[in-house]
Amino acid sequence: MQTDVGSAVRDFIADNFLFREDRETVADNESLLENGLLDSTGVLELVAFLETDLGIDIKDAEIIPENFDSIDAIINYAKSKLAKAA
Amino acid sequence: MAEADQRGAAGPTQSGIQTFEASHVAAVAELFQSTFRRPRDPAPDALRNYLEDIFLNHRLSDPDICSLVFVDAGGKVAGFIGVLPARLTFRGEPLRAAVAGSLMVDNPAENPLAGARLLRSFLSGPQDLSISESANALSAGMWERLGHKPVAAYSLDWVRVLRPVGFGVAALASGFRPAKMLSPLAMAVDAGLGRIARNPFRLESGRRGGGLAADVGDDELVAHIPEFIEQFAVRPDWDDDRLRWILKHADRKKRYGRTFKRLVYGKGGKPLGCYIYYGRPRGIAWVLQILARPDSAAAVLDDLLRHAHDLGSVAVRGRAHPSLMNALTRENAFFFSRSSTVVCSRNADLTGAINSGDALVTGLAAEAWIRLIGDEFDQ
Repeated sequence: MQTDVGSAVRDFIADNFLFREDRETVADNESLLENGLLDSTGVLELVAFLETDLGIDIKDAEIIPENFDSIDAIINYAKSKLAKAA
Repeated sequence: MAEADQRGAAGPTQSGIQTFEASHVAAVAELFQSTFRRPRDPAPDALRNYLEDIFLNHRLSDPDICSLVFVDAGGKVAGFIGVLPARLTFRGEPLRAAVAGSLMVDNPAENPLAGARLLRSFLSGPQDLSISESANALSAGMWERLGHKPVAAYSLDWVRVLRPVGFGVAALASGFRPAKMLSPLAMAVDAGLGRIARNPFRLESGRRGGGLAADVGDDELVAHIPEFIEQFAVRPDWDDDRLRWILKHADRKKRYGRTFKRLVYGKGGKPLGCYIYYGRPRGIAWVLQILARPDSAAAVLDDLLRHAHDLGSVAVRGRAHPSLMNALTRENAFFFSRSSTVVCSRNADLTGAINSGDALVTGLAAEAWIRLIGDEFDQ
């Protein structure tokens, strides 16, 4: 499941955000916010994906840079939410 | 603060989403000034007072439906979404609604997720229906990412040009004030054009519907508006006091000229509809609302255009509504998109009724009547 979460998040970022900035890759620890890959509109897309496709219940107060600033952060956040829900 | 805590947000000294309260007014006024008006000037007192009046002293205050602020890590108010509570009915059943506007974030680069949090917090409130009729492209995009597409039927603006040269001058003057000096010349040219029978901007002779119309006060409007909106499955549930309060607020807009409120009657003296607009000679009239019984929209629109023409307006503009489209098209109005109407509800039947055009959820029913939509605060 952990591998699935990582792959799903990476695929989603690649499919939905990279092409907009004309990028082909992004490192897992690279800041998505500082590089303009993710903004308020994009994070809503990402939140909808995590809720719908991965079944994660996301609280408004959890939509913070610490949880969404990089692929690593998103994967860690998603895994911790899934572990708590299990 | 209780509301903010329920939303899982921070307390008064922490960052996060908080309920808008009096202590935030000054900061929100500065944010509004820098986002939507003149960033170099401080927010005028009139703007501060108005924000307090419209969002904190609302006639239909609802402790669970509030405007929200985003407070950043330094304790500074860095985002805002203005929310007005509203009562509607859907096929006779009462609805709790919330109308959102003025979504703004200070320095989005520093607060990249604030807009998302404000919008999500608003949409996760207790209301049955969330509405925004003033969503710009960015805001509409955020609603769309959450699964709520703009409703095209309520998202178009219309313009009916009455005096083409004057309209061109007025449009130019909106961005370059000295162009106003050309107005007298434009009026003279338009007067000449008005005598040409084939002028496509000329109003047809003879009234549609053949009735009469009269200026009326708020009491007459309050008495008759329920008759004009009963055709809609989704409509406001105004009591007299609340509707009177909204109309009084609408009078406070001054940027587009004096407020005109008129009832249009059929041949037998039966009221067919009403309209409210702001207008002045040589200016573009701005329609707040047109309401008409089924099949009477053409007669009401006809009187509006004649009244604005006689006033000396160069054009009339307003928000389109499905019930007006046929009449507007026949009157040679043209349509454009300036902002979007978006709605959100868990009730699919309700959103279906709105999407099909069987609803009154804009204008007096939403937020077009408040001064934050288009008015000046410098006087």
